[in-house]
Amino acid sequence: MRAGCAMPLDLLLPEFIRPLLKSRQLGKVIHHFQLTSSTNDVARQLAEQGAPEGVVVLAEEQTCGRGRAGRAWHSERSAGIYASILLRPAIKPREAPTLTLAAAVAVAEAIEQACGLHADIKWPNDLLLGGRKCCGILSEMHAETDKIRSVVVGIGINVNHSGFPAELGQLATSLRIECKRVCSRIDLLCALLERFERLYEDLQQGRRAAVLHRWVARSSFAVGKSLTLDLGSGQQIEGKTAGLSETGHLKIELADGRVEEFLSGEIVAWR
Amino acid sequence: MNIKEIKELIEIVSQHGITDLEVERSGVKVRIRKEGPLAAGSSQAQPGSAFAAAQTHGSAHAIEGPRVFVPAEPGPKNDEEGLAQVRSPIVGTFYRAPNPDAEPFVKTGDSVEPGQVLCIIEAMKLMNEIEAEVNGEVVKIYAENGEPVEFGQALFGIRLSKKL
Repeated sequence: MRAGCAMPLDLLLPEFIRPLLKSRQLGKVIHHFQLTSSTNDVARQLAEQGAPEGVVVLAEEQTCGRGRAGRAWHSERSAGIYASILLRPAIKPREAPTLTLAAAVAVAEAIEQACGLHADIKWPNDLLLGGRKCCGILSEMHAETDKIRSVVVGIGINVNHSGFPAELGQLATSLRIECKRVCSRIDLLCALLERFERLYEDLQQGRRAAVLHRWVARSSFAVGKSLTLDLGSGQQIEGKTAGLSETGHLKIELADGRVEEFLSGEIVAWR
Repeated sequence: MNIKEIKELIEIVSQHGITDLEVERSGVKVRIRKEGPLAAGSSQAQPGSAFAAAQTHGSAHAIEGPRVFVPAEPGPKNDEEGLAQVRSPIVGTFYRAPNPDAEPFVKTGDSVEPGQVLCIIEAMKLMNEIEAEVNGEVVKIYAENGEPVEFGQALFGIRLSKKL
């Protein structure tokens, strides 16, 4: 390959992925974009148009990749995996948040399989290497009052980024920075889809406890972590983690010894 | 719940010697009680919120007599003021805007139409955009931005448009 020439074999093209992907449904249909606004937005549009479960949207680059509370996701071209998975789960809307924990477990296990790195999970679903973020997951649900129409699970993984903008320097890392070699995005994506599919089946068949158990086994944040949780609206609480509730909420022991469950918020500091 | 269903419930009560039957469906609670040997049964239908229904459900063991519970479905239901209520399908945190610096999706007095986003409920980084299911005007906003909301809790009260 000549220097300066595009490397087509490194693109996440459906024809490269399909022969390697051993999932049953996730990724059987892949929409690949060189450039799009946000894979979640595309997947939501496809969902509204009636696209079936398992459709995956991939982009080499996003102009409006986003995270929680409208924050931008740094989407360097062809360096990361920017993927959105369309699901139509037959579970109640109120059971759906566990999907986001399952997605985090799937990514962590896939990173270990494809790159040999052991990522930590910061509740609910950020992945950390050496305390810095390498993967973020933002899911969006479209539900009727008691029935889910669709869930789009958006996953951004920093795979082969060689560096980050100064404002992210201390917060972000990539698999390449951590394992000091270029990682195969295709191998990682296939492992992710295969593992997420099995976890998703577990949830659909009522094996939520098994999924939560795997989350707890992977996360140093599950038990005994002293941390600060930002609840938004300027409110922060401090305490020590005491496991997950049966619905995946984070249990935190507060200074006065009471244990409370939290279902949203962001861990902003930890020791 | 319609009249036909209530009649069927009364039949069940009279045929099976049940003295007290309570049914909740779609936010409407019906209680049928057999007062004495001659009474065919009395019924009272009262509009109730799914939230209230959930509370009743929680204390069901405290009430005596056989009863059948049909879980209340959260969704737009009419409260005593004739407002369609939009309820939360999940336990989560209520957000009126897509991000902290943005304008709210809707304010009181705004007209809304089916499919229009009213708010976001977040739980564990799963964002659930709640849409209007009716044409109307936002009259009440029951929940506070950034506050936790319960499953089935009323979020908005919408006065239906006269026009279809």
